[in-house]
Amino acid sequence: MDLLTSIGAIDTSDVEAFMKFWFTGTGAILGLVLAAEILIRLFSWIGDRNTPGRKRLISKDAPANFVLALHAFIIEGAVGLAAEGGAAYAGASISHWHIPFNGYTIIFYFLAAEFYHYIYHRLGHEVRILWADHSIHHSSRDYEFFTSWRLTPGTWIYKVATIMPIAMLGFGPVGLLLMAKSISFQTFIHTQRIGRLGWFDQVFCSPANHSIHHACNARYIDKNYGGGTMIWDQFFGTFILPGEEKIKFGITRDVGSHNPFKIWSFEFGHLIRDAWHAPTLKDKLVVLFGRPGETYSFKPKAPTADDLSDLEPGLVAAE
Amino acid sequence: MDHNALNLAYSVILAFTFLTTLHFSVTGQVESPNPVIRIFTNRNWFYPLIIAGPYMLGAFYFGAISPWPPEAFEAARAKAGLWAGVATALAAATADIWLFWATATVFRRFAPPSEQRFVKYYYLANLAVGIYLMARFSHLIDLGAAPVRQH
Repeated sequence: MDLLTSIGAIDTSDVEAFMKFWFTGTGAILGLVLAAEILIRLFSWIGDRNTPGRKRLISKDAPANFVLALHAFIIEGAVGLAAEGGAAYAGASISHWHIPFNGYTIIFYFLAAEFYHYIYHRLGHEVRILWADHSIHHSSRDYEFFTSWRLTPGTWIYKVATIMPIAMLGFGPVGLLLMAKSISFQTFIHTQRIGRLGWFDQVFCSPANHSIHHACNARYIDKNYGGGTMIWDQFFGTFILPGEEKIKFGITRDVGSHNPFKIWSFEFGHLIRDAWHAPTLKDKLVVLFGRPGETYSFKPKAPTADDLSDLEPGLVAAE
Repeated sequence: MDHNALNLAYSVILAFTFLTTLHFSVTGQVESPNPVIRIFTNRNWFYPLIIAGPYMLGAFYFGAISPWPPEAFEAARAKAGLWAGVATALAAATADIWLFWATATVFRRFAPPSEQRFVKYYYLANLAVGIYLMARFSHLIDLGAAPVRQH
């Protein structure tokens, strides 16, 4: 199968060969780029050995990112992939339509997979209980290749809820999942080495526009959800390009720790505390399913004079 | 549109991609100050690489296309005609340049001033990776994948 007959072909076997080559090649490029990044850092680190305050070889967050990647891979492998695939299969099974996966329809599969990514990703940002999970990915103050490995344990839950209705439109589970997995190559764009890329930034997911997505500056929050392209962001009005403002990476409420368990439990802790203290059942539900930053937020009361009178005089003075 | 016309179109596009890659590799600049050369070497000609770059690497890996452009040309021409051969050879040659040299140029272009003194190592690393992969694709080093198919 040569390049041209593959691209020009319309039957499924050619599309499969094309996908096999393309995914293998992209995986190889990803590996090479990561290797290059590590080598460059190593050269700089060794070269700067006599420079005071030299940059760290790996960021303080990197070990936690590796632990979080490992735990997410285990969960994805154990239940996530099966649940996502099962939901796609169930959706396609009960659908009245079936869209074949071939050279003519591959673009529709790609757009459907992009839409799938856009929706579940946006849910992860805009529903607080899901944000407690997804914020793990965003909580690093760095933005580099290894930040993309700061994966979360529960993404598969909202993936399942999103993929089923899309599969019900007639998209076959294999084609849809294959296209959706192209998001795995997003590691490439988690870098500050590459600057603006002209019109590419307007259409495709790029280092510049994805860096905005990881920023916690007020004007950049909840923007640029796209996985491979910016098509759905442009369509739904969530697209933005970097401005003059310096990008501040991370989340508005900083975790302030490199301990993976603390990173993992940080927003869940705030969520449980706020839901527990919310005064009414409605408030509790809004805490769980409302938009982050707009729900009830528990503020510990300042101690009263009566509270302080119980303390020993020396301690009060210390306060 | 028949395949021959489609292959001719691919050949034209990939010829520009090849020229832009070559120009970038030699000069380190995407767009030339010379207006005539600028027509043939424009950053937009890199975009076919999103599809063709990974595809060629995968095809090299599985032995479907030879990384040696004349061999890639012969195989594709025999199967799908002259323009299929031209396009495949151009895509193979472009992928080869990236494997050996052009990738380091990208890193050089975006390297901060503090890293400029390490640029020569980027090229050494790129060359080493390219030589390793070529040896791998040609089965001088065999890690168990299928050999390059004899057409």
